Amino acid sequence: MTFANLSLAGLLGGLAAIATLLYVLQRLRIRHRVVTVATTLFWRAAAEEAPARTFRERFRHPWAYALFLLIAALLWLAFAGPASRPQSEAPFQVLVMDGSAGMAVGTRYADAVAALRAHLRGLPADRRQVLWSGGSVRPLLNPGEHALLLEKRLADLAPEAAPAGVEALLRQLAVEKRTGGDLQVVIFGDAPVRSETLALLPHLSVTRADSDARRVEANTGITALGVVAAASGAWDRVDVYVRVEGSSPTAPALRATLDDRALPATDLRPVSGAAAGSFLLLNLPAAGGLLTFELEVADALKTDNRASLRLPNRPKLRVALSPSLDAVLRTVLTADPAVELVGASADAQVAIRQQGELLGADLPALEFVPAAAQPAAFLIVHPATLEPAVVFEHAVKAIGLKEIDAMALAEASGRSIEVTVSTGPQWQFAVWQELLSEQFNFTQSRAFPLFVANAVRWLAGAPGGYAYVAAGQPLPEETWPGTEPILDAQGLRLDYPGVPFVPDKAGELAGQGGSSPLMASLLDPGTTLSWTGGALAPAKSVSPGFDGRRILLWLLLAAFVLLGWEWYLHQTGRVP
Amino acid sequence: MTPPPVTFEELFDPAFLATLSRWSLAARRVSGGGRHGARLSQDFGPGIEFKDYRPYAAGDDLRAVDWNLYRRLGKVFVRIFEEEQDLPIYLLPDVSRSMFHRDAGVPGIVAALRCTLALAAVGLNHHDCAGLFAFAQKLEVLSKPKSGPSQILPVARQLAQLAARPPGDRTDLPVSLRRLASLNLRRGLVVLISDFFDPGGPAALHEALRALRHRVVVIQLVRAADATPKIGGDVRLTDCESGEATDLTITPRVLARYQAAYKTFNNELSRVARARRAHHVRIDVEADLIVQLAPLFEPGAVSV
Repeated sequence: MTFANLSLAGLLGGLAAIATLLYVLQRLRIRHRVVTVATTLFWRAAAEEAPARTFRERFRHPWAYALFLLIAALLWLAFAGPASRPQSEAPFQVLVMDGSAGMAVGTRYADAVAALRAHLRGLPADRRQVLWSGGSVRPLLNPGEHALLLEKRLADLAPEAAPAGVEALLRQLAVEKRTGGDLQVVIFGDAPVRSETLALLPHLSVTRADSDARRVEANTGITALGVVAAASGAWDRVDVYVRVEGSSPTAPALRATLDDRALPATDLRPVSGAAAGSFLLLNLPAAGGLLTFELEVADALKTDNRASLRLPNRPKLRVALSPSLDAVLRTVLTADPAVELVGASADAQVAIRQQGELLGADLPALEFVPAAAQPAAFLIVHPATLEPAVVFEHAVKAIGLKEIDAMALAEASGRSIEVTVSTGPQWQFAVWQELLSEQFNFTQSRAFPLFVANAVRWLAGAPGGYAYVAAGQPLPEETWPGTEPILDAQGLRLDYPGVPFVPDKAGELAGQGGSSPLMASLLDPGTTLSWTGGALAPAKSVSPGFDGRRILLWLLLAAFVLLGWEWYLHQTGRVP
Repeated sequence: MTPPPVTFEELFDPAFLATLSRWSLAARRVSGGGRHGARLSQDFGPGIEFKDYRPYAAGDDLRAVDWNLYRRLGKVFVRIFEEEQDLPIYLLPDVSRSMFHRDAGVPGIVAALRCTLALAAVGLNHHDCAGLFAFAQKLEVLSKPKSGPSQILPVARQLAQLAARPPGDRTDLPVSLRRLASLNLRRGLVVLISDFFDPGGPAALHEALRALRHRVVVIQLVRAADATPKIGGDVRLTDCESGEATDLTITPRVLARYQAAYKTFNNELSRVARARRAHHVRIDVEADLIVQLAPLFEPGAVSV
C-alpha cells in the first residue's frame, strides 16, 4: 500500500507528532466547568481518592488516550490517501475496444464488452485508458475518468462497417508511448494483429482478452470492387471488376443493379485465369450511376454482402479549335474518343489557339506561343488562389510532361526545356509554337496525341473518378485542387490538398458528386475471411485489490464511529 | 432580582390547609406548666380524668374533698385529676443558602416552608401553641409560641416573608440549637426542617441535640439531584453556602463514591435521630408533600 499525499516517512512522522501532541494534551490541566452545588460535603469525600487533574498531571487515562490516538491516526491515514499499489509503478494499460465490422458476428461484440467491463474493474482509474477502434479511433474513457462514463458512451456504439484498424492504432500508440517501461495494450475483440507488426513494436506488450473467443464462422462476402476505363476504348464506357470470397461451400448468387435497375446475370463474366468468384461487367455507361452488388446469402456477417460503387461520369469534352491550328491538331483531336470539336460557342470547355487569338478568351486554353515570347517551353497558368507547387506537381503528372523526350526537344531547339508556373485569371497551358513545326518532329511522335489528349483533359478539369472506394483505404487518386470537396454529414471538409482521403467506414460520402455522392464499401478480405493474424497472449485479469477511495471511505467511517463512541463515553463520564 | 421561590398565596393554599385540618399529632403526656389545652400533662389539677387520692392539706380546694371516703374512713382525702395542657411546638425551618439553591431543581425552601406551615396548622388546630424559629448560621426568633387556629394566617405571612428575603448564610446547627436551648422554653416538640448540610455533618447535629430538653422531630428534605447529580467531566464545584471551590474530574468511580457518601450521610442522620429518640422523616421536595406528610399524622403511627 502506498499513499498519494504523503511519503511513508511523512506518514510515520505525522503519526508520531499526533501521538506526542495528544500525550501532552492529556497531561495538561484542563479548564474546569464551574458548577454551584448545594454542598460540597459529599464531593469532598468522593474526591479524596480521585483528585482533579492539574497542570502536568500524571498520565491517568491511558484508554482514553488510546481512543483519541486511534481516531487521529485514522483521520491522518485518510488524509495520506492510501492506494493499493505505488501509483508510479502500476503499469499503464491501454484497453482497445475493437469496433470493426467483424465484431458484428454473433456475440463477439457483447462478449468483448463484458470482458472489458470485467477487466476495467481491476485497474486504477488513473492507470488506464480505453480506446474505440472502429472506423476511427476515439477515446472511450480517459485516464482518471469514472468507469460509469464508459457505460453511457458504449450505449451509443455498435460495430461499424469498417475493417479492423487495431494494427494502425498499435503503431500510433508505439509512437506516442509514454516514457519509462513498456506500454501494455489489451485488445478486446477479434481484430487481427500480425506477428510482423508486433515485431516492429518492441515496446508494446500486446495481449488479447478472452483470446479463445475468435471463432471463424462460415461467411462469404464481396472483397473487391473496382472500375477502369473500358477495354473497348470507348470514352464514356467503363469496365467493372468484382470479387467474391468466402468459406461457404456453395457460391452464392450475385445480383447487380445500376441505379436500382437490375442488370442481367449473364452480364457478369467470370474472369478467365483468376480464382473463382472474380467477375467482370463490361462497357457499363460512365454516366455517374450507382452500381450495387448484392450477395444472396444469409451468413454470419451481413456488412460484406453488399458493395456499391459510383461509376465515373465521363461526357465528351467540348473543344474549340482555332482554324490556324486546324491542319496540325484536327486529326489528333478527331481521333480522341473523348473529344468533340465544337465552335467557339459558349458551351465549349477548352479552347486551343495561338497567342494573340481571341478564341475562347474566357475558357481554359491550350495556347501555342512563339518561343521568343516565352522562356520556358511549357508554362502553366493557374488562378492565384492555388498553391503553385501543388498545381505544378499535378499538372506534370496529369499531362504526362515527364514522359516527353525533353532531351530531343532541347537538342532540336538549342534551348533548355523547362516547365514553369505562373498565375493568371484563367487556366492556361502555354506551349512553344515551334514544337508543332517539323523541326522538332514532335507532332510526328507517338507521344503527341497523348500529350494533346492529356492537356485537353487536364484543362477541362474532367473528373477522373475513383477506381475503388473502400473503407479504411486511401482513395486511389488525389483529389484535384479546386474540384468538389468531400464533406461529412456536418458539412466539414474531409479531404485536404495533398492528403489522400480515407473513408473511415462503408456508406455514402456526402459532397463529392453533389446529388450523386460517392459510396464506400467494406471490401476487406480480412473481415470477410476472419483473418486471425498472429496469436496474442491472453490478457491477465487484474484483481481489484484495494480501491484507494474505498479505503478512504472505510477509514472515515471508522473514525466517525469511534468519534460517536467517544462522545457516548464522554457523555456517560467514562472519559474526560 | 430573583423572585421568591414561593409566594404567600401559594403557601396559604386553602386546599392544602383544608387537608391539614383533618390531621392531628399524637403526643405523649406533655410537660406541665403550660396553658390549658387538649393534651394530658404531667401536672395534676382541675380536669376530667380522675387520677388518684391524696390526704387533704391546708389550702386544698374543698370541692375536691371526697366526702364519701371521709364517711367510711374518717379521714379527709382530696381527689386529684390529670390536667390537660397544650403542646408547645417549636418549628425550626432551615433558611440557609443551600435551601434556596435552585440550580439542580426545585429549591428545598419551598417544601421546608410548607412543612413548617403544615405542622404549625396541625398544632394550632388542636389548641397547641406554635413558635417559629428560623435558623441558618444562627437562630432567629420569628414568633414566640402562640396558640389558636387564628395564628395560622400570621404564621403563613411570616413564612412568606422568609421566602422573600435574602437567604441566610451557611448552616450551623450546633450554634442554632444551643441558642434554642438557651431560651429556656417550656419543654415541647422541636421540629427541625432542613437538608442538614451542616459542614460538621450528622455528628454536629448529634452534638447539638444533646443540649435540647425537648422532643425532636427531624424532617430531612432531600432532592433527586442531590442523590444522583447529573454532573460529569472536569468541574469546579462551588459550595453555595461557603463559596469553597473543589476541582474534580467526575468519573463513574467518583460518582459512585459520591453516592456512597450521600448514603452514609443519610444513614448517619437516621442513626443520630434514633439515638436521640427523635422521629426522622425524609421528604422529597419534588414529590407531593401531602402524601409524604400524611404518615406523620396517622393515628398510632407516630407519637411525639
